[in-house]
Amino acid sequence: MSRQIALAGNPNSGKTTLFNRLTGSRQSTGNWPGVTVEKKTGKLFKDGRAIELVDLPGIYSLACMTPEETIARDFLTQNRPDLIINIVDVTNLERNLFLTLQLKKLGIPILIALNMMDELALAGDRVDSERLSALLEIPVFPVSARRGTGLNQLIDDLFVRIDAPKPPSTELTEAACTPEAIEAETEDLYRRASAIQAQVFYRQHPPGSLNRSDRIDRLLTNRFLAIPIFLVIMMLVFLITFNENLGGRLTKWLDVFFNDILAGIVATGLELAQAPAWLHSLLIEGIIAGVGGVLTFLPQIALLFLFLAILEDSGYMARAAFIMDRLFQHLGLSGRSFIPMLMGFGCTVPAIMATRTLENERERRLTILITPFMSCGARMPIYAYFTAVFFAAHKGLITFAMYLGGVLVAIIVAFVLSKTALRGSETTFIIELPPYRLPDAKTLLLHVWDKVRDFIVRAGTIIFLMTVLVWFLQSFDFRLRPVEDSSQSIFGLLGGILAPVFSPLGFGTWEATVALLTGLVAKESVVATLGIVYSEGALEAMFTPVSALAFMTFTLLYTPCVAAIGAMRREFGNTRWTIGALFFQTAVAWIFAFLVYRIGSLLASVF
Amino acid sequence: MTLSNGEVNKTYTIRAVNTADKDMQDYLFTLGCYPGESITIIAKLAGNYIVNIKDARYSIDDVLAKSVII
Repeated sequence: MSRQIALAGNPNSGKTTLFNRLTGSRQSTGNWPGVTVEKKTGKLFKDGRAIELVDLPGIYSLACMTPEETIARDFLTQNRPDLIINIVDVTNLERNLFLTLQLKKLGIPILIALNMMDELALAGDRVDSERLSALLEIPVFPVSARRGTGLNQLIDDLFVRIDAPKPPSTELTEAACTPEAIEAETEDLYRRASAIQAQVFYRQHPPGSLNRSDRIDRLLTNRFLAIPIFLVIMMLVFLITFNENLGGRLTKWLDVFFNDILAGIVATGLELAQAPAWLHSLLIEGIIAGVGGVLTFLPQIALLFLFLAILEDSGYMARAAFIMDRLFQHLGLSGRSFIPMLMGFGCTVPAIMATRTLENERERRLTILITPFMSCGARMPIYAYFTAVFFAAHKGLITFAMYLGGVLVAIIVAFVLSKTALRGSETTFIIELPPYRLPDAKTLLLHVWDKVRDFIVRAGTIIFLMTVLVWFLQSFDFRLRPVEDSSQSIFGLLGGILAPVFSPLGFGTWEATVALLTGLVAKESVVATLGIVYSEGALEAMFTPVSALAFMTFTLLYTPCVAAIGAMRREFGNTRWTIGALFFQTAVAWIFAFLVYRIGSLLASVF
Repeated sequence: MTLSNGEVNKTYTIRAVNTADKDMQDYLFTLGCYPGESITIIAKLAGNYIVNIKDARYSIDDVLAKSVII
């Protein structure tokens, strides 16, 4: 029979880091509470045997407030794994032991991975792990999941213990997990946790004394400097990513590679092989223009992901939530909502999942609704495509304006909704501030590589198929005859029907319409499609700088891709809400694109 | 007095926790924020606070700070 081990412990105690170590997986980790919002399974191998390992979201206790905590609690009390590895953060022993004492009552065999031993040594404190084990009557293994120390003993013990017959499940599981029962026990458990800590923990400094993180916080969360520093950090991230000479230069090299070198080689090859014209058209105007157009932006996307990973791993993420809390209170949100929004600059899907850490239902719905307005990595190629033609001198500035525009629209929408449809009581804000840690280069690079690989895979699969489909739909008519004039193609005719909707926004053409439609599959498709339907130089004829800006605004704000819609559906837990949100977002996009076009046209005629 | 009147860098003993929301009170309890425990104010920023409870740092807002009686 297959055996199952669950990893349980406080938020940000290193469960996922240990999970990755033990299973060789690469689930994303970060230095802030609430990175893991779903249970993840992996396999631990030793001597030809495999045990299933389940990584759970972090919990402070078995009484739960948020959806992701409920996932952990339900798994432990209902699925009842064969063994629990309780990760205990040794630098915060008492609060972690409080959970240990609760877990022990479940009657499931348990062992403790006493984590962050390296940080304990750094702080100069000591712990008597043997004494701890004796007092708790639980085996204790001092480890550092980050450094990978102490894991062998832990693994050896796991494989011995897992074969022991499972003790009968005790009756207390369900009853003991009601909030009332837990509250009654809380004080008693904390008294015991405190007594145990007093016997095993030797401090160098009194609790509450200032440590290294506090000294950094003196500066970064300083009353006067916090907001300026925050803005400077955000500006730097975007400046480096979009600067012509940094991120921009890498992109230019790739563009030359795809459109000049690769396309040239393929064209020569096709001529030599005397390939038919349609193959030439498919390969060069279809696939290379489409997929290449998307892959070109890989370096900038990688840079942005790198910066987001640094923010996550250093511990600044939770501080950013703290700094933004005041502003967000005015929007009917709390600082916690800022974390999903910031993640939205990477990809909307994990960002929407991260809203699970919000305990207030109203706040969570509002955050799900506005997170797609944060410009995700897949939208970056669209801005780059247009700015290269219409705003060549101000590429970085216009792209930055798009990102800023998304944030502003999110703020406006949140403000309006929190005063109307999603009105509610004042939210309270509490978040644990993890210690600052120097991000580990290997973890960062792996993290970025995972995202980049994901992007490449998408370009090679979904985007590739889309480009072939788009090429086909714009090259043939309904009777499957090749067309000279692509406005007579299947796409041209279909797009032409919807195009009038976009006429007030300045881009009521079938080409723009079908590009937006393919963007529903993946936002990168917008560029891939435009690359196919417009031949060289056609873009300038079809758009003015103002209508290009309106188009970019629309793509920034309209309904996110199907993957994000799926995530919205899951997190809303409600189809009606999801459909409502889609119409709402598209309406918002239409209105703002309209404003951009009208105001822009007015200004253009004045100057 | 409440935590919101407290001074930075000072340690206080919690005398009561009176949040409007019962769940929040339980939650604070599980973090070790309950009568008799020590709490230190590490920093204040525009109505938000960084506090130390046991060995952990938390950021809390004005509403929560007002509900902690010291």
